[in-house]
Amino acid sequence: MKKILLFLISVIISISFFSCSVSSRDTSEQIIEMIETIGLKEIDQNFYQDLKSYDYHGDAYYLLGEKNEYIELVMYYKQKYVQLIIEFDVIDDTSLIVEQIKVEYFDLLDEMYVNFDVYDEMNSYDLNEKSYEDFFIELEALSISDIEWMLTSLNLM
Amino acid sequence: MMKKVNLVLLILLLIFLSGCQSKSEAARETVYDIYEMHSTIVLEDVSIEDNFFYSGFSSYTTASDEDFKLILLKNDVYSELIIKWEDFSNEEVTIKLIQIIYYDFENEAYFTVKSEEEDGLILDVESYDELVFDFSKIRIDDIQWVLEKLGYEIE
Repeated sequence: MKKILLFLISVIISISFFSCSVSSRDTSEQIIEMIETIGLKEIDQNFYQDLKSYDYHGDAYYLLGEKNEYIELVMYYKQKYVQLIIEFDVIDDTSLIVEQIKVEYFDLLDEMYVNFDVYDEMNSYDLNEKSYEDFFIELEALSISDIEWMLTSLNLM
Repeated sequence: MMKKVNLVLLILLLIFLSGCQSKSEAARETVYDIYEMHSTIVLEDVSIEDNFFYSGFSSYTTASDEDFKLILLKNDVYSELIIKWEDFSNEEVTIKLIQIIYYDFENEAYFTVKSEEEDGLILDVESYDELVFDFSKIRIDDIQWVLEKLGYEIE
């Protein structure tokens, strides 16, 4: 009986872990799609020089946002930092248009630094009837490793 | 024997916790002192729409010899402490600006408290590293303590 219970618990835990990682990877893939659709990348070459003059303390994992305007995700843990800002434009109730994406990433231990903006006034990305609230919840599931996977997939790391 | 070891560990824990507490208390008093050094303190209400979203936690600090920023988010309160400073030398620093941004989403209190002097004000400090380390220990409770001491009501 105990073995069956243990098996069931481990199956439930595995499924929840798997579903979490799949959903956050889906979100990362969608951000990659946005970046590739909008297309224009402006990489800040001075980012590393600016970064070197700063000290960092503490931990952060938070999202801030204003409905249909922007979402800012900041993560800082074990000397790794991610800031992802997505700005929107809303035409009507069924369209959440991504106008601009800004990404800052650094890993102080391994000395990896990436900073770029994605924007193009002529081109944008429609989140296809997804609401701001739903997308906010999806971004809550992202981790630093998802962003690293995303940057690697974009050949930026 | 085991009881004695537990007692020693408990005492060490209490000493450690009181050390952390005193660092944070000293830092918040320094923040208050910086405000008091200024002749003008400007309180501005911030317009936050009902459609503001937030989630997660933060006790994160960035610092350089030009500026300091602490971002705190816990439960329903988001706060930033921003200081612009320069000329760390001879156990002194010149403070150009200090600002607290305070958003209490539960009580719908959103404001900033800012003081600045174009020429800067001199503050006695032990060292840059010591000051940054102490300020990085500041928490939401300390920010609320500073605001209340400055005369702003925090619910």
